[in-house]
Formats: sequence, structure tokens, C-alpha cells
Amino acid sequence: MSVQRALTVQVRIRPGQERPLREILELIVDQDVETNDICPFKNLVTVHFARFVILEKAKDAYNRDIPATLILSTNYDGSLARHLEELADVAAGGLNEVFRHCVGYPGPGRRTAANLVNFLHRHRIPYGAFYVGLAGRSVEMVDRDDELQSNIQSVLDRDRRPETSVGKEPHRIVEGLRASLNDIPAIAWFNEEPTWVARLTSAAGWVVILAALLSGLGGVGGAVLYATESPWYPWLSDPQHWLHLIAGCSLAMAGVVIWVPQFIALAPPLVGTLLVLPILTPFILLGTAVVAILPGVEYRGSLLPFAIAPVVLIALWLVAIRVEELLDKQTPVPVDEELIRSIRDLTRSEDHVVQNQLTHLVNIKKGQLRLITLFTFLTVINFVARFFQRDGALGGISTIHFARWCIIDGGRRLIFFSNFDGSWEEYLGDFVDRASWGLTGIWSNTVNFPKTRWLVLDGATDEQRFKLWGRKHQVPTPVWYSRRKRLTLRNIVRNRAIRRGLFASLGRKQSREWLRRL
Amino acid sequence: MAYLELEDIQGIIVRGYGNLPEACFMPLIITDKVKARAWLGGLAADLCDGLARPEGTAVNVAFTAPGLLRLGLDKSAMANFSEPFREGMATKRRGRILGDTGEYAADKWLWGGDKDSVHLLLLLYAADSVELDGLIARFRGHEAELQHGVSEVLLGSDPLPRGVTLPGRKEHFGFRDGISQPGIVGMKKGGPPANVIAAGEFLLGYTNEYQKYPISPSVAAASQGADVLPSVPTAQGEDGSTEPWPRDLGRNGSYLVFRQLEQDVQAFWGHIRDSIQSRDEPPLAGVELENGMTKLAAKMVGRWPSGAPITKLPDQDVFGRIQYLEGLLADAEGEAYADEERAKTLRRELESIKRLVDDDDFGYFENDTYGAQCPVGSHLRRSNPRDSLTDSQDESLRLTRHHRIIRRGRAYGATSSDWLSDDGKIALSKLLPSDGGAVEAAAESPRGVHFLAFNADIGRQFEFIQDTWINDPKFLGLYADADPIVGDHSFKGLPKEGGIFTEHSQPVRKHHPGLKRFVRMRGGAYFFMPGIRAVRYLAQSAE
Repeated sequence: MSVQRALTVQVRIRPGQERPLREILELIVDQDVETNDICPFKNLVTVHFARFVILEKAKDAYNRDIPATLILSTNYDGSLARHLEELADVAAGGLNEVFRHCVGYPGPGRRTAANLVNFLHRHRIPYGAFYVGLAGRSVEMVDRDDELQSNIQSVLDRDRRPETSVGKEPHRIVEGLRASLNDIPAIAWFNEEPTWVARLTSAAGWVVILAALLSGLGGVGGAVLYATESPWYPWLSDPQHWLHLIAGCSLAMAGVVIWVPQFIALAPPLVGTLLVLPILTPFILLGTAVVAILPGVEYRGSLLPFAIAPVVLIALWLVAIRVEELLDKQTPVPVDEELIRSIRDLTRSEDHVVQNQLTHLVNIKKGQLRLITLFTFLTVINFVARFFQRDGALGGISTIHFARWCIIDGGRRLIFFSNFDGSWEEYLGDFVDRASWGLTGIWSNTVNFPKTRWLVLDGATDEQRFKLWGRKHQVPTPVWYSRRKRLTLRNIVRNRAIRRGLFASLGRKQSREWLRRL
Repeated sequence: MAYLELEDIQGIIVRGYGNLPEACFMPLIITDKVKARAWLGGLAADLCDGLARPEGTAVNVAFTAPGLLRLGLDKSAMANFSEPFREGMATKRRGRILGDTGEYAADKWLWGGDKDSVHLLLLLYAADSVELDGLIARFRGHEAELQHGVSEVLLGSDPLPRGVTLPGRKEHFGFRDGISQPGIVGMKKGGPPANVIAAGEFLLGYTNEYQKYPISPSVAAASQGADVLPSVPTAQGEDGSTEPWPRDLGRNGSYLVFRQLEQDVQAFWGHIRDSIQSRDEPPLAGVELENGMTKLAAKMVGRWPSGAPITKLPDQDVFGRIQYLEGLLADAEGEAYADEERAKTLRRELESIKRLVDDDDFGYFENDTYGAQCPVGSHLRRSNPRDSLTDSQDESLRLTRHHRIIRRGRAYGATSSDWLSDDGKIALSKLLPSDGGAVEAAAESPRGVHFLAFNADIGRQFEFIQDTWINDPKFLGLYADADPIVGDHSFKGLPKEGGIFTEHSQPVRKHHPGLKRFVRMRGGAYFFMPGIRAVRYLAQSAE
């Protein structure tokens, strides 16, 4: 099984070193991003995408200074240790040249590969949410599947009328194909990786939700016992015991989550995962509260306030958000000379290969309320993206290879990295048309975002202003590398299906369907 | 008050002037700003509005971004025009989106390729060529230039070839054109509900499919002459806290995409013939070859030459069926075996077959999911995937509404021979007479189409269609198939050996490799066609 992970490294740039740093990044691109001698990305055989971004000196929402930083971001297969090792193996010298302009980088005498690895390791930053378009497909699998696909295509193109040589029957044609492919030694590596990974992942998602529901029911049941003065009553009347109960449920859920390798591998720091649980506990307590205030039930002072508190908190939170939204003087992004110039700069590097990239950086709104809301929302999105994505699609968008949000600079800014197929216009359009709730829920906590209602409504549906906002906060990405510059995610999914079908035993109908994919 | 302010909307946006078959498009540059403004002021009174179908002649006018600046529009007013319009069609960036790359790039165009080389476009329509000559004479030549302060861009070389209407309303490859057209909310002529689109998708000043007003250029109320312009609608001004631009310059205006596309008819059909002949052993000839060619070309287009959608009529064009039914009908009506019931049924069937040539009421989702009839990569399906964009029919119908354009193109140049006929048939033997031989290079006058499209957001509509649907070789999961008719086959660094067209035949798909570009971009620009009041404003705006 192969696991795809994300590395984000953020380092402060030493004062006055921004220009030489830029020069070396430009050199990477000028020489060719795949084969340059600073960091020949193509030699990194487990890296899908990579980028360097310079975040210039800026001000946060409170108008406080944020120093200039350099970001290295990658999407890779396998373990972090292996990845850092590979980076050092392939490009220690070049990466030295890059990172020596950064604060805290070892001095000239101590620039060893081991120190580089240490440095990168130390400056990693966590993500708030991470999405993998097609989990489980390593660089190698993607490459090989495509090789197989194009081999099949050329066999079919050579033998233009396969039905005349082997008959019209679909499964005969498939057999004929298998036979001719066996002649090609280059694809003698056939074997299929297990498919249980994806199933287990979504099963784990359901387990978590079930556990939450069960503990909710447990809460209700407990309250019933309490209200009917069952023998358990004395134990339940003690709020301490309730806390234990909830903690027990939470731990059980966390346990399930941790035992799923896919999840633990991709999870942000554990705290992010556990944050799902406080979101769920109010529902548990809500159940209790409902029972406790049923007519005919005697008032039990020790339980009721405890049960109602979270409901009140949620209501207060919603009202606070709504009030803030109403008070928020919306400042639409003005189209000025600066924005027009920056759009033209950004678009110069777009639409050269099948994918495009987006690096988007925006200040988080003032106040803890927004920061907590954002953190919570990212966690929920992370949860959904991890457990409930269908193959190669999130919310119906089937063009995203990898995407990630990170809260950076001590909770002051939100950065978003994405690698997607097709144009920026199409991508942002998909956001508006198919994912506006989730994205509005995240980005409504950042400045300049189009006006929202109740956190998730409106916002991104103000299509033209949302797109302007997107451009306004997009930052240039001086170095960007895509391993699969000729393959869309749809191609990759289709290649996988072609490969799976070729090595399965297909009936007549399945053979016909399989042939249709070619 | 009517919903659409038709008296202020220039007519060509809301109707196609089908009764005015002759057309001339004149790209102009402004040589004398003061005179040009005065001339425009007079022209505003002559502009054809959207109230009624014009008789005899019609004149409309549109401006490029440099043209607006040249007329003296305040630079700050440019901010709220759409970015593609402001940037212009001829930049490298737009070239990558539009497929104007390599030998098709802007520096190879006949006109419009240089920055600031076109300022405005006159659109002249007439019922016959004599009237059109009269109309052109008003605007062409030295006298006119001295008087109007504008001059034709192509004065030195040949002027832009005139628009013509070919037999059977065809384009030069031989296919009936201009059938699929969105209806506009507020106009009488609608069509099926899925095809009636919010006015704000085509006109500024109305709500679009997102129930929002498109961003519209506006000018300060204090600027000279601004009182002829309407105020910015309140719902639109709401978000601007201080409302510095209270007069709406964009209302009733639309962005006009103009592209002169030259078609290499011989090369197209020659390629089709080679593609058929290289596949079949022994090579087809005669009628069989012609039928095979017509079918392959129809698969690429998505419609038969007559216009009938191939997804509804997968095997052959309407003519055979019509002939067959007419034969049966003659029998049924005949003296000997008169059968009124049967004749009635036949007449009905005949009617419905004949209606297919203008049929725009169909989808692919239910009956043609995988493109067995109308291939996924066909021109028709790419330029509007209708209900088959995603694996949800409803969602597809909802999403495609955001990417519609109104097309007002006209063919130009004469046909190479009389191979097109009024009844919609094509005679391939007349087009490629040297049966089996090499296709001779056409040494005749160029022919093609003046592609005109109206939309309210060039980026989300025209450019999206061109980039994401037409040119993308990865369209809906395909691997290397750009649009077989108009696509850029070297798009985004894919292998350069020519594009592939995939025919989703049973049991195994057929690849038709080696596609070249048969349509060549010769010149064009992004224009803005303002409301008539806005033309008046532009005619008197200050320095």
C-alpha cells in the first residue's frame, strides 16, 4: 500500500536575502524545473508535486508585521523520513544554496545532508486540512498504469479491426489484447495492489460517526434511566461520571481512528482529529437534555444545566458569527492598477501543462472566534475529505490532485495550496458551482471575502467577486513542479480501471464495459 | 416597463437579422478623436435597436478597450470592464486559452494582432447587396475618413470579406450552422426551458444565472454627459459602501467576441477521405466512400450536413429517410391503394423528420451516455455538453447554463464549387473531383466564417468554452482529443503528431489520428457593444 503525504516547510528569510533567494529560484525554472542542477525534481521518484513560494513581508489583520518567509511544499509517497532522505540524496547541494538564505540554517562548515534533513524536519508546519484526489496511487503506479494504457491503445491502433482477427465477442477481444500485451516485456510487472484500503478508510469514517451516534443514544438512554430512578441513578447523578463516560467514548473513537493506517498516516497532529469529538459531544448532550426536560419528568438539578450548556454555547456562537457578519462592512475587492498587474503576472505562468497550481494567502479575520471557527471547519473538511471522498472527486469536483490548507504565522494567516487540472477559471468556477458551502465556511473567516450569511451561505456564490477575491490574494509561485504534466486525474482514475479490468476475469457484459473505457 | 430595455439594446444582440442576408464587418481605427465623437453622436441615432426586426438595413457598433480610451473615456472607468476585454484577444496569455499559438498566434494574423490596432467595429447588414453597397459607401473611403475621423484597419490590403448566407444556412464545410442558440429571459422566442438563460448572462444590467448583477463599468455622475446614462441599480450598488460610480455605462451592453476564422474546406474533406481509406481494406470508392466520409465528418461535427443531430439519427442523414417516406406516402395517397389513415401517419412522420434539421431539443445523458452515437469529442458535444457534463443530469443542466453564448456569425467567401444545395445536401464528388488523387491546394479566394459571439463574462463564457471544452485534449476524461473541427491539437505541450478523434464504436473504439487544424484564425478582437445611450455618452465624453 502506498500513502500520499504532504510536507510543508516554512522558514524565515534572512534580512536582505530575498533577492539572491529569488535569483536561485529563477535559475531552477530557467534551467528547466525537471532537470535543473539545483533541484532536479524529476529525479525525486516519489514526488508528485512540489513548489517553492516566497511570502513577502506583510501585515496581518491587526496591522502587525509578518516577516518574509520561504515555503517548500511537496506531495510525496511513503514516510516523511524517506522523503527527506530522498530530498537530501538528490539535491542536498542545491537545497543548501536555497536554504542558506534562511534564518537558522547551519553555517558553511556544517552544511551536511543530515543537517539539511534536520533543518527541514524542524521547520515543518502542520496542515489544517489535506485532500488527496486519488489516495493510494504512488508515482510509480501512476506512471506504470499510464504506460499500460498507452500500450493497449497502440495495440488497438495497430490492429485496427480486432474484431476481424478474434471475432466480435467483447471478451474474445479482451483475451486477444491480453495475449498481445504479454509479448511486451516492459509491462511484465503486473500485479494489483489491494483495494481494501479505500473500503477500510470509508468504513472507519462510518465507525466514527456510528460511535458518536451510539454515545448520543447512550446519553439519551442514560437520562431515561436517571429520570425513571433506576438503580443506576445514583451513579449517573454525578456529573463527574458523565465526564468519564464522554471521555471514554471519545477515546474509543480516537482509538478506531488511530488504528486505521491510512488515517494516522495522513492525519494532521492528533489534536486536529480529536477536535472532531468536541464537535460531536454536544449532540450527545443534546439527547440527554431533551429527555431530561420531558413533561412528567421530575426536575433533576444536577444534570440539566450540564446538558443545556453546549446547546447554549452553540447558539451563542452562531449568533456571534451572525452579528459579526451583519456588522462587517463588506469591502469588495477593488479592481485597481495593482490588481490588474498582479493578475497579468500570475497568468503568465498558467496553462502551460495539463495542470495548474494555486497558492493563495489571506489574513484571518480579527478575533479568536474566527480562528476557532476556521480551525473547526478545516477539521471537519479534513474529516470529510479523508473518509468520504469518492474515487477522484471531492464534492463532485474531479480535477483536484492534491489540496491543503495551513493556518500559519501563529494563527494569523491561512494559506492554501492546490494542484488541479484545467484552467483557473474552471477551477474557481467549480468552487462556486459545486463546493460553495464548504469553501465559504472556511474562507468566510478571512478578510475581504464576499459577504456571507450564517457562515456558509452566500459568499462564494457571488461568483465574479469571489473570483476577484481569489486573484487578489493569490501569490506567485516561482517554482512549481508537476510529475504528471500530461495526465489529468480523470486519466489516472481511468487508467487504474483499465489496469484492474485487464487482470480481472471479465464476463461478456463487463468486457464490453471495459472496452468502452479505451 | 418591459423587463429588457430593448430600445437601448443594440439589435444584433437579441436577434440574428436572418432577413438581412448580406453583411459587412468593418474594423476601424480612430484617426481624429474630435471628429470621431461627433460622428458617433450622429450614428447613435441610426443604430438598430432591439425593439423590432429591422427592414432593409441595420447598423450596429462596438468598441475595443483601446478604442474606448481613444475616445476619451476616463481611465478609471476601465477598471470594471472584464479582464479579457481590457487585455485584448491578441496577448500570449489569451493565445494559450484560445489556442492561438505557434503559427496561429496573433503575430501571424491579418489584423487585430497588434496592440491598439483596432478601435471599433461597425456591423452593417442589408437585405441585398445593392443596399449593402450603399451602406458601405457611407463609411468607406477617403471622404468618409476625413469626415468621420475613423479609418478602416484593412485599408491598405483587402477589406474584411463580406458576410454571406450559404445555401441551406450552411458553413463552408457543408454543415447547417447556427441552430443551437440560447433563449433570453424576457424575449418572446424561448424554446425549451433548459435553453432559456438569464439575461444577465448576455447583457450587463440584469441578473445572471447566479442571481447577481454582472460587474459593470460605471462613471462618476459628475462627468460630462453622464446624465444620459441610467443609475447603477441599487442592488448592485449595495456592496460599494461609498458608491463612487453612480452612473451605469455597461447597462444593456454586451461583450462581443469577433474572430475571422478561415476554413480549408479541401484539406478538411481530404483528411476525412484519407482517414476512411487508410482504415478500410479494400479502399472504399464511389457512393460508399462518400457515405463513409459524410458519416465520419458528421460524427466529428455532431450533426449531419442537413443539421439533424446525429444523436437522434445515428445512421444516415435525413434525405434517404425522407425519400423513402415520400415514396410510401405517394403509394398511400395513390389512386390504387389509397389509405388515408396511413397517409396521415406518414405525413406526421415526414414532418418530424424534416423538423430534425433545426432540432435543438435533445440531450445525451439518457440515450447516448458513452457517445456511441454522438461521440464525446464531437464539436457539438464539446461546445455544449448539455445534460452530459457530469454523472448527474440535473447538475449538468445547471452547470452548462453558466457557459452559454449567443452566436451571430456569418460565413464569408464564395463556395469552391456548387457542391452545396438549398435542400441541405452536399455533393462531395463536386468538391473533391479527382477521385482518390491528391487534394489540390485551393488557389481561390479565402473562405470561412466571421465568428461573432455575445456574452456578459468573456472569461466564464466564451473563453471557458474555447479552453475547457473545445481545446482541452482531456475533455471529460479523453486522452489526446481536442475538438476535431476547430481545436488546437498541440495544446498544453501534448505530442505534436496531430490530434486524435475517438469514435466510440462497438465493440472497440476507433481512433482517427493525425488531425490537423482546418480552421485558421486570421484576425479578431474583443469588443464591447454598449447600450445606445452609452454610445451617446461616449460621443460626448470629455478629454
